[in-house]
Amino acid sequence: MAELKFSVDSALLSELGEKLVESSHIALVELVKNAYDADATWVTVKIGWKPTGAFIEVTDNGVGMTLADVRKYWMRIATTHKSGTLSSRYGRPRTGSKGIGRFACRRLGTTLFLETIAAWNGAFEKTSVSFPWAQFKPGGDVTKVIRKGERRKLTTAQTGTTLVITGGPEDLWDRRGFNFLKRQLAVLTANRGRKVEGFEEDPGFNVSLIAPGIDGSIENLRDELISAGWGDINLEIDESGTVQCVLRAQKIGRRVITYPTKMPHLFGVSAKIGIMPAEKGEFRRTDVLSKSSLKQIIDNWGGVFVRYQGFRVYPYGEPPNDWLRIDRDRGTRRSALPTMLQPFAAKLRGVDPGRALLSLLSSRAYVGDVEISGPATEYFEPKASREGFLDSETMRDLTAVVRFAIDWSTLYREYARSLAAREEADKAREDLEDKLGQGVTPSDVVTSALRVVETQVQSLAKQLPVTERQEVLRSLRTATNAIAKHEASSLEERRHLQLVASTSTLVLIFSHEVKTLLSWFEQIRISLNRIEERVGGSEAKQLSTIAEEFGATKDRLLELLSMTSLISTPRKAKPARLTLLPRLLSAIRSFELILNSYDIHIDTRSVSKTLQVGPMLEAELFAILLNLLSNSIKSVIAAPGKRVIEVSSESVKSMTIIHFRDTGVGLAENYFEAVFTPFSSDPANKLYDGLDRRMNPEDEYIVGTGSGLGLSIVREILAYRGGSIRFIPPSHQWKAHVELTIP
Amino acid sequence: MKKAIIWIDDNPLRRRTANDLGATFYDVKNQNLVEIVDTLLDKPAPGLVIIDHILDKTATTNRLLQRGSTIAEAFKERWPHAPVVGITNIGQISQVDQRTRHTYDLFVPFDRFSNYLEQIESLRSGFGEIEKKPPSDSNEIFGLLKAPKDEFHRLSAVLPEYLYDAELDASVSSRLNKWVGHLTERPGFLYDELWSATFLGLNLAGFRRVLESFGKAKYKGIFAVGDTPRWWSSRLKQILFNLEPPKAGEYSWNVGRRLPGILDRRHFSKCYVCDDDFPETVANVDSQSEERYAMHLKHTILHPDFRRELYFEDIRILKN
Repeated sequence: MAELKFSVDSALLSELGEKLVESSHIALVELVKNAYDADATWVTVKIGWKPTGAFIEVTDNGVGMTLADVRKYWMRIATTHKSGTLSSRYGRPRTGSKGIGRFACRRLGTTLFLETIAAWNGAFEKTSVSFPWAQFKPGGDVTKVIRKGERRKLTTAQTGTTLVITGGPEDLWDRRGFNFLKRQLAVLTANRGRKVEGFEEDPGFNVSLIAPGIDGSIENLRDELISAGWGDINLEIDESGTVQCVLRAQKIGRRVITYPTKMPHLFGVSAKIGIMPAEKGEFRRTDVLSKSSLKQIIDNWGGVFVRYQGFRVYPYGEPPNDWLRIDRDRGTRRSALPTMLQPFAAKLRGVDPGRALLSLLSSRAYVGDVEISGPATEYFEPKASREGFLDSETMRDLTAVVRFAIDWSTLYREYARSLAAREEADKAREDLEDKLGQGVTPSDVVTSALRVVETQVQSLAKQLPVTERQEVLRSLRTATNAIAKHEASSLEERRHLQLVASTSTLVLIFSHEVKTLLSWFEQIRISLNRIEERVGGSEAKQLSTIAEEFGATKDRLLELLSMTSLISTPRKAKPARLTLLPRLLSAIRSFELILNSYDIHIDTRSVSKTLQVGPMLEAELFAILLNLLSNSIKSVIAAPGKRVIEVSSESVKSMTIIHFRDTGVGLAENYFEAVFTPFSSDPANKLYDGLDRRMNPEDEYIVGTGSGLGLSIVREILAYRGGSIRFIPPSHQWKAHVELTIP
Repeated sequence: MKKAIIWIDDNPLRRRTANDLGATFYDVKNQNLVEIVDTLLDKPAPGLVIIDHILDKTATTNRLLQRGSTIAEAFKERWPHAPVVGITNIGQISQVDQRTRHTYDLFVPFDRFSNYLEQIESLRSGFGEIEKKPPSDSNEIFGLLKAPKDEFHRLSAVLPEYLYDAELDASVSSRLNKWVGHLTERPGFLYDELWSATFLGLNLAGFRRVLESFGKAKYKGIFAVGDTPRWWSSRLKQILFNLEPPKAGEYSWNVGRRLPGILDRRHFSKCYVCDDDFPETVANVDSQSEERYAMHLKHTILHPDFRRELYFEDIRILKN
């Protein structure tokens, strides 16, 4: 019987190397991946040109190969030295496994020179061999090509492999290909070290890229990667304990902040952290980072690691560890800034200090290391299990400092985003200007855009038959009119809101001043009581009366202040069923001065003392009552005659109906709806004429000066809680009647 | 001779009140707080310490020393028999967490400081009394409370672990103050004026007319505060039934109305909800309000924010 066996044509090498590896850039990436899989910690890639063509040199400090390895694995097609899914020394997950990366070198040049050193029998073995690919001609049998390798024994050496590829095509490398290479290799450099059970601790992987003819040199690709996202933070602590944080970021440039408290016990701590949001528009270096490579980096190597004298400390930065409490705060949607950053946040235009932290990224999107070295090492005590440090004030301070830097950068990111939004709006306006051929101010954008739309539609409509053209133009006019009117009213509302917002700031400042005054009232009251105890007799009585007056005024102001803070900061409150009468009486007491001055009587006898409304926030109920009382009070002051307001209640099925009636100026039926429109203050023009005649101007501030928002706010609150409000025609002895329905 | 009062504050305007109280005022604004506190700790123990909770205007930038609670801890360790009162502005009270508040023996808003003067004085004298004769077992604790003997058994049942015999070290004053605070806050062993009046079937005006007869029921034990009096509920009942023996099936609120001095219905308790006689309990108008009235049990439900406690009354709210 005849024996038959396959032989292998040299053309297979080109099939494998050139067709399975799509481009020469990927071919080089494959070579570096081989170094990664060989547990190298550093690879240097040199790309240059010689008279014989392009050359590439890839040097790594991995485990290398013995001659036997070269023979058994390197020279055997479609096998790999890489047994198992993890690398032999550090347990790295393999990045390549086809066993054909080396044949892809054919794309990169005509000759490959391999030099590799591996540990062998207590010493080292160096193997050198070259591969002139021209000898592997199609038609020839690849197994018949003999390459002679050199083998030397060394007593001391650094293990690793060097590949030199020469004779590459002149146009092999351009900037685009080089950038692709950088992005691919950057993913590998995100490995900043990890301990895999059963393997030596991996110190990490980094790459130097030297390509003077293309893009200069990159000594440390990982540093480039860390700086490639939206920004990077560098944190240093000097001998005096001054913590300086430097942020370099897109649209922000370089910014510096000093932590408010000195931390001398952290002298020697430093950190470098890349901030890597997923949006490509926020990358600073698209030559190093792509959206797909970022995902791999974040998934595998995201997080802030901690190193102690150069060694990684676990579990900091390993999922699910959240030592900076970033994910916890994101999970709970914590939005409040730390007190120390609030003044800073207030200065950044376009940043809402109350919401800035909502744009914290996930902990994995902060990629970098905190290094503890120098004197600070004395203050950190590793746990007996080696899993992290013992909880201590120093560790808490370290956490606080790093988190401070991240929160601070988050504020700047918010600021950068608001700048970007403004730029986008400006760009849209400029585009519009180009279309119109003239300048457009921000307030005219909508009007101008409407003009463009009108012109375009009119020009298109010319091609339509007459009837259809008229129909289209009619629709166009209706739509553009609606938009124009809405825009005009929005502009007006915005102007008004700006004024109202300024007032609320003033109210808060004023509240603060009043608080200081109240403390002083309290002190005077105590002093008067002490003197009263000493003097006795009628003088003591007089002092007692004065002290009581002080006390009563202070208590009334405190009640008002507590209502102000209840309404302005209702965050901690929860909706509940609320008994109406005590809140109504409390709201009435806040108008006590003006009720007495103008002899206004408010009758609440018909409000059931057990009547409850809601569930709603106490602040909401007060906002409703204060607005309606304020309106009625103004109205009765503006009108001649007896000044009476009546509040009454009734229950109808599951709803509560509350009636506010007054003897004020009244409201004509045709304005019953108009008064609920925001900024519509006194549409019938009766109220303020009357107030001008009958009210002391100083008292305007007690009942509000007419923002035109009161009733619309009340309607919004009630609608949110399933209720409603309306004016109804009053019965004969009343001038106005407001009816509220609350669940 | 009374021991000194120390007042530490970075708001120099509060010196006036410190002077009124006869306290030595340490103005630490722009001063080295560490040095001042260090010097103080070498001095003899004061009778009372008053300290501002927010100390952010001293020369010290160390965060640890920007809160009075941190310094209070040091004082309490060195001077366990000196009560420490924390003060702050009213707006900041709610921002201080419960654990930090409990560092102080009393934490009060300065804007209402005068309301707490009696309580502060009571703290001072109470701590002094315990220092002179510290309790060595639970019976001596009940003795300090001047509790009725027949209440010892029930009090033992609710005595918190932190006051068990083995825990009675030098810091007992603070812990006892905490427990007395609970006994006086939550009706059960002790009743406030409204609860006492309701228990006797009277309104506040009626109760004030018979107050003298119940003098022996008034709480006069350690940390008693004159302007917020409490009465032992068991003694109220005992005195009432001695004064007016009950008929078969009668409750305290039936009997109380026959007390001498009670003229007519003007002094009787009435239910806030239905205006009828004999409300059995006191309840808040809702879960968010502190307004309380006498009510019939049937018109109330349990307050959602309070749990039930053995031998204490339920905290209730008006049923809608």
